[in-house]
Amino acid sequence: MDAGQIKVFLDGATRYFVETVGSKAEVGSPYLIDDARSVAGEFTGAIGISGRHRGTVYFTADRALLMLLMKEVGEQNMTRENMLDLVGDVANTISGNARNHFGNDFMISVPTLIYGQDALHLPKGIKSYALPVVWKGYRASVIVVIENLD
Amino acid sequence: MSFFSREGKTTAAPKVYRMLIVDDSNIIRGRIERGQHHAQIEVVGAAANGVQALAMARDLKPDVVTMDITMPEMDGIECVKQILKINPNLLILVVSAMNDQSMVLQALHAGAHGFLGKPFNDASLNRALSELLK
Repeated sequence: MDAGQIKVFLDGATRYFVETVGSKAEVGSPYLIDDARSVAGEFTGAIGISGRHRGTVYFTADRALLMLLMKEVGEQNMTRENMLDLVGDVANTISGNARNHFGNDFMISVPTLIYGQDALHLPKGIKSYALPVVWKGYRASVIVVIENLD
Repeated sequence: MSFFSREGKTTAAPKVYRMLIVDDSNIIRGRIERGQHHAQIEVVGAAANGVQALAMARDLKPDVVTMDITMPEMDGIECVKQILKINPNLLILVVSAMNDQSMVLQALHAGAHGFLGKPFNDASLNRALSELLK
């Protein structure tokens, strides 16, 4: 992936928080990671990518950020299931918006929901970029693991 | 971002529109139900996939549907086509993160009347619903 392609996901993460709750998240510089241990949160949503590109887009966060985000959108039922549902929705939104850049053959799957920091394993053989997100003092990450098949 | 087509709209709309929410995300179903404040809309049900939506469309007889696209069992584009066979006068607002031009056109071609891109907030949701009911 080049810088312009990674910026698509940086912009997507920024837009999610601004549009959804009206407050900006700070999205830091992307960096390469070998495994998910350093960035994995308790809850992760993963969107599979197929078409001319192949890979996965993850959004991973801890309980504190998700509880605050749910509170901001008026969700009072702060169960594990809803927190998983929420990370899946963030990953879906960032991935779906990316079609504006990558084109309509950038196909996205329904979310796969992953509970537990140790349960997140990244695909091997494709570069994995972590995009750090800080919102109201709480950390999360978008992880982009995509290769172009052209 | 939202887009609208006037084709297929009824002229004799009921005073209160019965709305069915279709989305595989419980969070999004809740956000739409809580966030919509249109005086003419009453939420009558929520479905988690296209198959459920078709059954609920038969049972609950909604006038308005909000429709996700990426769902298990049956995707939203297919569901738009199928649900219009049950009630050709349904007003359908597609709500999706896939807000690129080709997907918007695909949704409108399938028979949807409006498109609300994600991420959305209460204000953009209510603007989209108001446009849908005009």
